[in-house]
Amino acid sequence: MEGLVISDAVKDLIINIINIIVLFVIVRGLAYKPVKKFLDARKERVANELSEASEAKQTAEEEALKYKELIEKSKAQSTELINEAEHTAKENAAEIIETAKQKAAEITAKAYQNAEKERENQIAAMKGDITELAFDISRQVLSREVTDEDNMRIADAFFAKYQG
Amino acid sequence: MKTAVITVASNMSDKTYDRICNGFAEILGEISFEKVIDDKIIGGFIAEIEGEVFDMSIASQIAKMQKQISN
Repeated sequence: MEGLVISDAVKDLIINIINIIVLFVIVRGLAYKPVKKFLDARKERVANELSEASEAKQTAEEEALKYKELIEKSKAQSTELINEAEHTAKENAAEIIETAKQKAAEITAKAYQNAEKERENQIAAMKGDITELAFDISRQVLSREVTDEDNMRIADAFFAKYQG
Repeated sequence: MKTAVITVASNMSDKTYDRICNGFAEILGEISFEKVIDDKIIGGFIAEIEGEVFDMSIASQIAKMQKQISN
């Protein structure tokens, strides 16, 4: 039995080791699975949340991109509309100006025509007046200048025509 | 008997008037004359015989010329 003599210290050590092993087995049996299950569930939840967050982020980015595209499209349409409106306004303005120019030219031409006609009428009237005046003067001069010899010549010419 | 109305200006002498009367008498035969003095005719004469007018006045010649020029 001498060979089997074990000191108290070694005994304590062995007992402690056995206690630890027993405790480990008991704790593992009782706590490991629930804790692992809890940790797995937490891990899965975190992964899901991360996935959802990622999806939400992606969705948000897609929405933002879509809105950005819409805004760009709206801007382009607005610019196009403004350009078209400006172009139309310029065309209309040019047309209005052209029409106004034509009307002004017509009015001017008509005014010139009327003025020319009026001038011609005045000249014709003046010619008439001058002619009238000239013949009045001629009558007055002839009244003084016609002699009896002239009268005789007229009578001779008349009867020469009928008697000849 | 026919009657001729002879219109003359006051500057016409009796000699010239007689020349006119004799001229018409030679052409038309027996005819009486009525003398009218009107200085508007300027010179020459206007004879009206049985509604027919012979206008040899200077005034009518001037009027014709004036009409031609005006037209």
